[in-house]
Amino acid sequence: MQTIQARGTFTQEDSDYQGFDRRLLLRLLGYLLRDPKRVGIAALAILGVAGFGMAQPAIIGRAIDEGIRAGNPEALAVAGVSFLFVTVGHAGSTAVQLIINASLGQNMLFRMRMQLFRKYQGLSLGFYDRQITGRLIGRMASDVEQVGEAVTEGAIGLIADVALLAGIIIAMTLLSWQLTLITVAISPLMLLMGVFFAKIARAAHRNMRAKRSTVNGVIAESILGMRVTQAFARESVNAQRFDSVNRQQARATFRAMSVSASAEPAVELFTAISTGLVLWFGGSFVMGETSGVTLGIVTAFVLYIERFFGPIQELATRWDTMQAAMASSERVFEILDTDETISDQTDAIALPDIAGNVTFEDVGFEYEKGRPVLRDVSINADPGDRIALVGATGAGKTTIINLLLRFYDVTAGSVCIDGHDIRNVTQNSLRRQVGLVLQEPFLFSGSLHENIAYGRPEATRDEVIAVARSVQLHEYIQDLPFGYDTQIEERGGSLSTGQRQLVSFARALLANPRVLVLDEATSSVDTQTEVVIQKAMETLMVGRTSFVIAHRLSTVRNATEVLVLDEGQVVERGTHHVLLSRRGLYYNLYKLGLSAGGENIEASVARGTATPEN
Amino acid sequence: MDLVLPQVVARAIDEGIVAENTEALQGLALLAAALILLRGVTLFLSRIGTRFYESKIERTLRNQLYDKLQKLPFGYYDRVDSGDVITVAISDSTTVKGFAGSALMELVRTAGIFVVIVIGMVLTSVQLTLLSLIVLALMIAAATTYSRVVRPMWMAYRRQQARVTQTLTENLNGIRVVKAFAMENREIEAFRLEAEAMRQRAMAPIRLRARLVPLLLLFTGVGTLVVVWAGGLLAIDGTISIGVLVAFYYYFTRLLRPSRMVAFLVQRVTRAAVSAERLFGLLDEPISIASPEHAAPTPVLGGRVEFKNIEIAFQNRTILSEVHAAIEPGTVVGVVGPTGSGKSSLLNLIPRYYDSTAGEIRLDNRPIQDFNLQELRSQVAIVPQDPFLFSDSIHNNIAYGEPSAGVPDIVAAARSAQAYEFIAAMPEGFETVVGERGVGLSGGQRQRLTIARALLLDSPILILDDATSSVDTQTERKIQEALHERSTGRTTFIISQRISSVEHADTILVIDRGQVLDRGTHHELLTRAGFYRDLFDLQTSRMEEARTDLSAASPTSP
Repeated sequence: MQTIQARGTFTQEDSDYQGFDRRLLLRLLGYLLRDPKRVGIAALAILGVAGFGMAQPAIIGRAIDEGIRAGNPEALAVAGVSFLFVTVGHAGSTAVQLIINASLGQNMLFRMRMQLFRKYQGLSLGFYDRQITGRLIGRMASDVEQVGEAVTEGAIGLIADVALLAGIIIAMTLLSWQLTLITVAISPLMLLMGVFFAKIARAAHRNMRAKRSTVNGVIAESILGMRVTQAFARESVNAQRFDSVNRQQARATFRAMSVSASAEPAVELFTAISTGLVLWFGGSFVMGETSGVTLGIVTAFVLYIERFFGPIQELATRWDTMQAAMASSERVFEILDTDETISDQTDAIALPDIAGNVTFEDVGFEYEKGRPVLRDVSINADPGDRIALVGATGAGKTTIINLLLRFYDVTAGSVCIDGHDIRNVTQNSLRRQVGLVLQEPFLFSGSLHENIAYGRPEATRDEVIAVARSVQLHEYIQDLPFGYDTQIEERGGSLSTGQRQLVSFARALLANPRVLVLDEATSSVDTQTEVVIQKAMETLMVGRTSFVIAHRLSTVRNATEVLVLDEGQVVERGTHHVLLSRRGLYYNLYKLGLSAGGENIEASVARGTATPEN
Repeated sequence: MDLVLPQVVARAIDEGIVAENTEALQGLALLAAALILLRGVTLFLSRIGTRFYESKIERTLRNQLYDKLQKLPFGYYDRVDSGDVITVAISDSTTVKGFAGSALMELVRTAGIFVVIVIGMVLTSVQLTLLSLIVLALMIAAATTYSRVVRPMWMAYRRQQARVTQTLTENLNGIRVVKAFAMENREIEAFRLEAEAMRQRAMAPIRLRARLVPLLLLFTGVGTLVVVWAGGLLAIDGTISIGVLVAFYYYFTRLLRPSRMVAFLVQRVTRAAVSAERLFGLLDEPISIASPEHAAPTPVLGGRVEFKNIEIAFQNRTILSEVHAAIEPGTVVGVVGPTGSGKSSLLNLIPRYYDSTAGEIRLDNRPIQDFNLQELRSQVAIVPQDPFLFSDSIHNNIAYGEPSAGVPDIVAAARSAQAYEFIAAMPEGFETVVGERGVGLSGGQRQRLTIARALLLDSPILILDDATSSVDTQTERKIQEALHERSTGRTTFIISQRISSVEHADTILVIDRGQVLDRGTHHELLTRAGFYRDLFDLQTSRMEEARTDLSAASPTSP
């Protein structure tokens, strides 16, 4: 369920990015510069495209003046042949430019994706506790892509456009500086207009994106909650609500698109004015024969103008693309710059093979400064011991588990395994020897075999079968048409909750850790499955030091030591029977649970609530 | 406009510059400017028109889609991945409107420009046109070939893009497991393969485009060459004037953009076609469960439910068969049985979330197929196994089935569901936003909110599908008492794994091995060996164990 919800909320956060951060730009360009060879080729290609492109109108102008008007077929032939060469050059450099730009962009995207993914793997769980998965996916799916666009369309395009404009101006100046002045005179106006358009367009586009994100949100949630909607016959109310957001979005889209649509006519307008001016003045020059302007030159100018205003208008748009993507890049960098609060020390050693002695010494922990969630917790578990953790939600049970796996670092005291402080060993070697079974078993898409062998991908089929057999899962799997090669679908597909738990048991069993951490499931399974699960749990715990967040009576009864937690402290400890005879908190919890008449009294004890769970 | 402009320029050259007639030149220059201006205005108007049309199409399409989504039966949502449906609804409809609007219009416009330019060329010089037509033919051939080849490449890229997102999503959802098993490096390697494939897939269509665009440039260049060279020779001969030659060349350069556009547009159209296929696939999805054409209005139901020889099969596997039961109004029916025995499937037939494979269900002696679907469902309240909450206030979540409900009713429903206290304890009370982007609630709290949502309807039939599994037994008892007080005539179905949830029911159906194996009151069922008694024994023996522990610890305790 979580998977789809996450995917459903790809709502893009909108950029309020106003300023222009040189630091960000440099950092982005840094990605490109890592590939200096390609950047060099790209620069050459840009020069090639601009240079060859500029030569074409000049050659035509020559053909007219020296060939046609002068009535000289040979000069015409020379012009023709050189035009052919220039054209081939133009086409060739365009091809190179296209490919190089794309590969620069794609390589950069690839690098960024990998960096982001590596970062995601390195970040501590503390980070994930504060983040919405959908947003993290959005960083990868939309932000990275936007950054890529900013660089290829924005930065590289900007450079290419500037090169092109410079080329045109140089070529024009060489032909006739007077006509060049006339042409260039109105270009600041064009630039201003471009900036103006870009500004309006940006506001309109921002509004459009906001509206679109609302519509997308409504669609996603509607689909996820469709069963409820149909069950409560809410269709017509929802349809009305949807029509209203949909209408707003359509209007916003229309507005944004209209602004963009005005750009091209504006370019046409300026082209028209310039063409008119050049014909007028150029024509007069030709007739006056004063400034060396010939018919060919006028023709060449008309052709140059065709190529001139487009890029000028583009400048503003490209600038805007770049700026918009700055916000995206800032969001990506924000994650890349997040501290991996848990990282291996430089002199960390690999934890040698352990026997399974676990000690917590005066452990304290706070997620936020000044708000301790654990205080002075001391535990000593010898190899093979079973420690049951009991207490209300928020008492600190999960925190103890998180500290043991070093998902977080203690803020006071220490956690040691076989005498090694876990902060001094590599996370990898620690977690390979400390197994975790979650309350909500998570299955990856892939085959059942792959899921069971998750912690030891090299395990053979026989090994996988052996562990499946010992948790009584083998027969069920064998009956499936594809057996161990059955693919797990979204939400676990054909497996029941109980079976999914057994898969996660098998997974832990195969990894064969010396220390086992178990968060017992509270979700209801039917009684027969319950019996199977209990047996499987027994199998799993044999010979291992186990820490269990207990929800079952059998677990507390068989524990070497039950720790009763209250507000981050161990308030009682001892075996089940000892604790009961002490008539303390544990006894009261237990009694209250019983008098509530529940058959699943153990859950009551574990939650520490016999009063309504709030 | 594309037709006239070069002619004006040609005449400006011939009659103005070459003939050295300043007045004619100035007049023609003004005319040219005016023409281009006019062109800009018409272009602007046509663009705006297109966008308007386009946004209208998108809106209509989305509304149709939404409508369809609301009508598709539960079976459809069981079958598909919700993420895929969301993608179709969100992005494919945008792509399709892009096709219907701008891409199609641009395509028409581009084709129009093409035709006009060719006409202009023919009018200017037939010989030159014939020469350049060869080039034109080559250009079109190249563009169409491109469009055919590029389509599968784009599809492959899209698929890979989805895979990358999928890989990441799964990784993030399972990050605790990844870390617990220290599998980060393997995950990174797996992701690298997908990201690498994505890079490759992205490059393929670009490589192709990098071949097409230069080819088009080359063709245009060669065409220009032919025009200027051959035309130049003609001009030297005096067969054509320089103005005509320039006009012709001008036409040719005007072809440059449309010819580039063709490739780009074709690409967009093909992409849109892929989206359209998916979109229309969704719109054409059959609606297997619908209201009858002329359903008589549904009166307030009495609550009599009758199952007649019901059979439910799924993918050729029979889940339940030969179910008979007649339930009188006001009865409380417990339904027990192992996981997967078909308890939910059976009760889901009443509001017609699914239709049975065989047999008939009658409500108040009328077959359920005869009811208007919405009217039927609004009289059958259900609390599903999976408590889904919308990202909205608690108030709106409870009022979901009856948006106009007043505050006192909502508070009363919350009280009956034993949810009032925890709601009132929240800083914003009933206005607290819950759901994915709201505050976190425990499983039991979510369940109680969904119970309140169902109770608000005050419907003649109520189905609780394992609705209190995360609620402690004491609270569950209070909810049941409240239910009892709230109505006397309501027919209630309670699916549960717990004896305590069903023991007070008027009758209990025991479903196992695809059939109703037994039925009766709690006491009747306990007299017979079977699933129910085993369940009872197991649950009480555990309680006994607990009691023993307790009394061993405190011999004086009651």
